[in-house]
Amino acid sequence: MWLPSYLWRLHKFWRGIRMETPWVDRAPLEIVRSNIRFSLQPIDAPSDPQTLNRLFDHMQSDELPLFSTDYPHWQFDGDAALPEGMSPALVRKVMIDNPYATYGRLKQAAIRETMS
Amino acid sequence: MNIQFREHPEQVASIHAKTAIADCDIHPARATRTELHPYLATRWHEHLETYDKRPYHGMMDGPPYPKAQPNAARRDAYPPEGGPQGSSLSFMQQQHLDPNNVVLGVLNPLATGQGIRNHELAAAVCSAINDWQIDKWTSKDSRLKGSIVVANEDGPAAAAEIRKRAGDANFVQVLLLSRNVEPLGQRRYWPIYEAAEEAGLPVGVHAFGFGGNPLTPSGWPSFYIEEMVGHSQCQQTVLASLILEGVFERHPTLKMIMIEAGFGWAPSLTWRLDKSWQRLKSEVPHVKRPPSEYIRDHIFWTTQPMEDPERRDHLSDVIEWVGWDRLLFATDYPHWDFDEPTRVLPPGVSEANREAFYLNNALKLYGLSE
Repeated sequence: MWLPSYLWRLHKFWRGIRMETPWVDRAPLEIVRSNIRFSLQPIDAPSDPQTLNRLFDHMQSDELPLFSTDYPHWQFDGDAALPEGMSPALVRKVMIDNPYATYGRLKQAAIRETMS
Repeated sequence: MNIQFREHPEQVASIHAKTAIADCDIHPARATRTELHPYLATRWHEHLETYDKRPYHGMMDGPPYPKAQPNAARRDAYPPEGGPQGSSLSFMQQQHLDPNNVVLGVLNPLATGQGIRNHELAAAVCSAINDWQIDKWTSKDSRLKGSIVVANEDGPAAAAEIRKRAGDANFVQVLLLSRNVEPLGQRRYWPIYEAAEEAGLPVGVHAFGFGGNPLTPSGWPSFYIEEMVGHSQCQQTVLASLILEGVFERHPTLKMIMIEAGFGWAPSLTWRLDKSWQRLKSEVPHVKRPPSEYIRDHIFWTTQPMEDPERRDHLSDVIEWVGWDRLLFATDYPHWDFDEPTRVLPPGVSEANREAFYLNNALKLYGLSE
C-alpha cells in the first residue's frame, strides 16, 4: 500500500529531472502498470473496507496485485489472507485473472487441461 | 524543462492579497567561504585551512549526486549582489518573504558541522552556524526563526548546545538530518531528545545527511532522481527507529517534524508498523502503545515536495489520514523544487483546514500563537 504515494513521488521527480535519465521515455507510472506486479501479503491497510477500497482506487489499476499468503512464515495470515471488503470482481482479478495474466505458463497449462 | 529565466522576480499587486503563510523549510546560505570565521576560534580557521571538513561520507566534499541545478537551487534566486542562492537576506525578502506573505520562516541550514568525523570541529561549526543565524538572519528580520544545529554524532556535545540556546527566542527547533551513522532512534542520539524535550523544542529531521551509509537499504543508487525519491524511504527507517527504540515512550512531550521527505507514505508505514507490532510486540516490550498512536501524538510533516497524484481527491484522502492538524507548509526556498504556495492544495478545502495547513499548525507547534 506504499505504492501509490511512492509512484506520485517518482512521477513528480521524473517530470522535474528526467533529462538525467533520458532513456526512461515513459512515465514511471506507466512502466509500473505495464511491467510490475505486487504480491498482496502482508497487506498494509487498516481493517475497514472503506479505506481499503480507497487504497485500491489510489492504485488506479486492478491488475497489479497477485494473491499470496506467505505460508508457512509467521506473517502468514491464516484464513484471513484475503482482506475483507474487496468486491467480488476485484477478488476474481487478484486471485485468478491477474496471476494467469502474469504467469503465462499457468494459463497455457489450464487450457491444456481443459482440452484433454 | 524546469529552468525558468526571469529578468526580475515575479511581481505581485499587493503583499496583502495573498494568504499569510508559515514557510517551515527555508535554506539560508553563506555568501563567502569565510563568512563563519568570526564565529569560530582561530585554531579552527587554521584547522579548516589545513585539513578541511571530513564527513563520515568519506573523502568527498558536497553532495553525493549532481543536483540538477547549481546548489540545487532556482536559477532566478541568485542575489543581484553576488553569492549563491539563499545567501542574501534582502533578496530573500524581495523575492520570497514579501511577495508570498511569509509571516514565519523557519531556517534550516544544511551545510553545517553535522556529519563531520572530528566531533570537536563538528560542535564548533554547529555553534558558529547558530550564532550566524542570529547575526545574519533572525536579528535582522523578525519573521525568520532559526534551527539549533548540533553535532549529531556526539550526544553530550549536542545536548550542551541545545541547553545553551534553550531560552533563546531566535530558535524554534533543533535540526537533525535523516542520514546519520545509525538510525536516529538509537542510543547515541538519546541525549539530543532529552535536551530538546527539556527545552520544550521540537526536533526537525530534514532529508539528507553525511552519515556514510547508502541512501537505500539495497546499496548506492546511480542517479540524483533516485536520491530524491529515496529520501522518503530513508525517512521511513528513521521514523520506525524512533518509535521502536522507545524514544517517545521515554519523552512523552517530545514533538518531531519530518522535513522534505513527503508525507504520502505516512499512512501505509503506520498501518504496517501497527500490524507488525501486534504480532511482534514481545520483542519490543518498551513500545507500549501501537505505533500509530505515537505517530499521531508526536509527529508533524512539512509539505514540500507536495504529494502530487494524478487525481486530486487522492491527495485529500491522504491528508485526511495524516491529519490536517499535522501538516506544516514549506516551500524549500531557494531550491529548484520550490512549491508555489498558491498551487499546492486541491480545491474545496475548508477555510479552517487551509489556515491550519498554511499557518496555524506551525504557529501552534512552535509556540508562536498569540
